[in-house]
Amino acid sequence: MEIPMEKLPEVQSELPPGILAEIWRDRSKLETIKASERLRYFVSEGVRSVIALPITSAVAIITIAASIFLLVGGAALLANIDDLITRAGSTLNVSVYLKDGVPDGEIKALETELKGQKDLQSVEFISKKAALASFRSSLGPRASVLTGLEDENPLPASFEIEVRGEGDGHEAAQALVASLRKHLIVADVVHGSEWLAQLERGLAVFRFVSSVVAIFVVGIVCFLVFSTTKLIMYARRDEIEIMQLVGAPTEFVRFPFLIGTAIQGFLGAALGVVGGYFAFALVRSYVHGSGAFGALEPAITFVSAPTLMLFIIGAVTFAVISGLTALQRFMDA
Amino acid sequence: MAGAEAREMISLAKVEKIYPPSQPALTGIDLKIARGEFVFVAGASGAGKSTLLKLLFAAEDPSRGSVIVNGRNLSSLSRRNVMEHRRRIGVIFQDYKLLRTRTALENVAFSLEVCGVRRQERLKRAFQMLSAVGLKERANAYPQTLSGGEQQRVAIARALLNTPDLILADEPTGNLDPDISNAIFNLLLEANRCGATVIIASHNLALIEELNRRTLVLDHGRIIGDFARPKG
Repeated sequence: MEIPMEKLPEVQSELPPGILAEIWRDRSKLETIKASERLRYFVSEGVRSVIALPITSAVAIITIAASIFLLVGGAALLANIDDLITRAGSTLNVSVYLKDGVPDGEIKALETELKGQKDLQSVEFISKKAALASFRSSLGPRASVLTGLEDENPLPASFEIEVRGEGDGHEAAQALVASLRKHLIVADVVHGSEWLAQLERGLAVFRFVSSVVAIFVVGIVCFLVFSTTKLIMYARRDEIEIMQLVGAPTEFVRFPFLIGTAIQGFLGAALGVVGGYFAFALVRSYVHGSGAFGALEPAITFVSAPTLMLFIIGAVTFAVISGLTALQRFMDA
Repeated sequence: MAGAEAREMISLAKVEKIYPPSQPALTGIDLKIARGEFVFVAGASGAGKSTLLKLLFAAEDPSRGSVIVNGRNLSSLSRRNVMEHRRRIGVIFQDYKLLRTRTALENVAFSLEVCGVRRQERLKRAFQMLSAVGLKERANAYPQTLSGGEQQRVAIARALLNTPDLILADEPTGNLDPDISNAIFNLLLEANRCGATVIIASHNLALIEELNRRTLVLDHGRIIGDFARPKG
């Protein structure tokens, strides 16, 4: 099929004579990379694909970060509210007011009897004198209105009892109150067992609602991550199409895409966790400063490390799976 | 392979291609092209030139008939084998199909990259090829900063770099000026002299006449003429 050079049209080619022939002659001398070096190639291509599309990558990372931030924030909020309610319900205060003039021996006997009951978390005796001192302290600068009451103290001595709220504590508290009301030295019993029952019902409702909210939040996160991987796929569709047209083996398309998506998923998830922690620290600092939760305050905690790891691994895994699904659909089409 | 089969690069028998829902693109195509031939496919827009080339690099499957390229029936190839088939041919697209995130040099080297050739080796070869098409100075430029003619030369360099047995070019000089068109045809002739079978879909009748090669004429999906060296 060779044609004489003089028959070729007059063209301004910069092609040096015989250069293609030289390349064709050397075609079998090309040195290929070993199978063991392919992983390094796929990783470097995965990293390159993230860097080569900085805006797409930034949008993907920020979107995944926002999703994980939402998840971490929701988990921290639900866990702390649950803990707060659980701990509030775990103890029940019962105030047992005693009649005036009861001999110390009878008071001591009742105290011993109460301390022997397993359902009670603590039993504290408040004398008439201690009750007045406490009342005076609570009045602060207006405590002078109590001047002169030292000799005729109207406040009764009492027992402050904490009943365990969990298990059969609710029934135990009601039984205790009923028995104390019949006791000869007891003037009155003030308790919150009805409030505890309401609290337990409220806690059950809260746990149901929080489960629904958690499923909803996870659904939103999955949707956002899936949409993000589709965005990555969309941004790289021309490149993938060209790779297929020049005959790139499937692993040359799939593995760098997988690694690139995993990198973006990990960076996004890690950023979301870090952002979530700082937001939590800010909220905790505010709550501590306000003193709104009183004795319950120290219980405010962040999401546990294993849960955070689960979120990160879950985000990366879901990003990779949804990315590969989108890629496979594109390649099949 | 032996005898006639060994000499044939392409064999199409009773090929039809119908796009959904019922748009015929090719009808009753029987065609044989020998190894080392240089063939033009001419025809008006919509005649089926691009579809014919797409069948040859397995971008489309025929609706009926068989397409055999280099001894392989393309209808029965797995995805892996389709990719292997494409690595053995060089395709030049009218819209260049260059990777925007890679330089001209990296784009050229890409055809060796997907064959697993070492980086230093492929970049050296790619630079050699880029020099051959007169773009040595633009090696580090990205496609979007290159002119149409420069992009087409990068695409040709990529198609030629893995020394394919078959080169398919779809309107390779579609929007280029005559000087650049001539240079590109010269490259393809050089590749043909090296042993590659070259098939070019083109409407550049002046160049087709001037090069005096076998020309298939398509009209409404049918081959209405097969002229071997019309001026010869």
